[in-house]
Amino acid sequence: MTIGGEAIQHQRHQLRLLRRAVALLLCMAIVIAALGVTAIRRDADALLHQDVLSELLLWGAVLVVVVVALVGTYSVMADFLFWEGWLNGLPNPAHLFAAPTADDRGHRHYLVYLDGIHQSEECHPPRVSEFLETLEEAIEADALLVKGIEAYTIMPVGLRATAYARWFWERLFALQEHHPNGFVRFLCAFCVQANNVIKVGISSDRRYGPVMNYELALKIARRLEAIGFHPSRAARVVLVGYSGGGEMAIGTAAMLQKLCHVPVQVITVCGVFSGNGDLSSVDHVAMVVGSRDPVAALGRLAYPGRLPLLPLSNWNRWQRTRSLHRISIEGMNHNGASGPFSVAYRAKVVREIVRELELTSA
Amino acid sequence: MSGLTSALDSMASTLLAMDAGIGLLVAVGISMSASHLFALLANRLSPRQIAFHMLIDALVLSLALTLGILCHSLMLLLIEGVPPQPITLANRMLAALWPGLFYVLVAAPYVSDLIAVSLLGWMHLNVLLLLHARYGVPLTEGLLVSAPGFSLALVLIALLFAQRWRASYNTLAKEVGG
Repeated sequence: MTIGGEAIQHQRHQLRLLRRAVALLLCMAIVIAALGVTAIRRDADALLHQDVLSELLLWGAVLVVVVVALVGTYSVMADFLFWEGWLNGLPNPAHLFAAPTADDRGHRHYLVYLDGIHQSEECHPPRVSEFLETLEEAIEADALLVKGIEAYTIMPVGLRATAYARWFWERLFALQEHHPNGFVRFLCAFCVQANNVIKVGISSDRRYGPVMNYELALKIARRLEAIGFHPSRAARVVLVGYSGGGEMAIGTAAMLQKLCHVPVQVITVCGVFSGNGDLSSVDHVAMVVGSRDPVAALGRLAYPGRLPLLPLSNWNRWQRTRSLHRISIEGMNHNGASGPFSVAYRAKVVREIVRELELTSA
Repeated sequence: MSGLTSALDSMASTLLAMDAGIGLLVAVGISMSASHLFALLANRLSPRQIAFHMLIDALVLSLALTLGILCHSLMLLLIEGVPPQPITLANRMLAALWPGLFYVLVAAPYVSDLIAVSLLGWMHLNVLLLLHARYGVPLTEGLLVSAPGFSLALVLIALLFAQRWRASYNTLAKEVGG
């Protein structure tokens, strides 16, 4: 046998060995898998028993409550660290509007738009941007629409630029926008929305709400100051809040009024709000609601402060002294193709907002 | 119904087997005190002041729970004719407070009421079960025996928490007014 032939034989022998090893490994994998399936089946059968299912459900519920509580507590902690001044950036409200700022365009009415819980950064989704453009064209020349305020962060900057969790949010947004797997994108979007839902919860909490709402009001006031707002020239500030933004608008209205020294009014669009916010000094609140909006209807049940069952809630007390303008739009849903930003309903919602502005401008 | 009875029996036997000392009372007080840590933060206190207030609050809350147990002792004397033995009763009833160790979770927003009501209800149920197991008081009569002590403890806890939050709102009002 030649040297070349020996090498080929050696190679064949190696390949045969390798094939046997692979076959052996495959057999072992199949045996392990079979054993595993049997064990899983046995466990799965055991899981189907009533007692085990009840125990699993109980522990699952306990785990959910504990995790939700811990996440909520962490979120509150960030708000309170900001309040303590440990994260820097909480300005002295006495210094607001100290110097006359230059808004020589003659704006007297400032509409501040607070987006829903889908908001992840300062710029709005395309559909919301188109709605805001329509609104901007419809309002009077002496009114200015303020867009791009992140309603669910307390810092003057967005989540992407927060000092203590920048890496986390940048990574999350990148995954949300660019990951090829749809499930990962959905999961990241869910995390962003969960953060915003938590902020809505904190804003509506009777213990933590005042501090968080104050911080958001301060953020809005600083933004207004930056674009030339001054109490001596302005007539009013109108907070327009969509969905969870409605809670943020109602929560901050009284604080913003104190900080800006002008009347503040609220218009909610498909608003989900608690009715715990202190509205005693706010004269005008209007709700634009859709007749087919299940989210806003659910919000009313989730927050008993808006039900007549609790007559001493802030919302019910406010309604006894002021009149709420409730504008219902037939067929409108909370979002999507028949939501307030859709082509079908955008113009109607804008028309109602403008009408409300005219009614209350006197 | 039989499932509920066996669950209550199982809870009672667990409570009877528990060796709860005064440490549990203080631990529950600390957990309750920690649940309103943010009220102290909202008051703009320094870390040292916060630690001091938390300790004082923990002791006050433990005292409120002890007063509740003393009240049970009085009610047992009045209704069941059990001779007043507050220290023995406290030793026997302290185990009922163990769910209070999780009271710190009440600090969470939006689920706080659910957690607080569940934990307080659980503690109250434990008291009823222990009264039944130790003194043979039926559960319905136990409600009457434990109601004043439980109400007193709740009122004291609520007053302490309300005072702390009221002070924090005043701090906020000063900030905005300034």
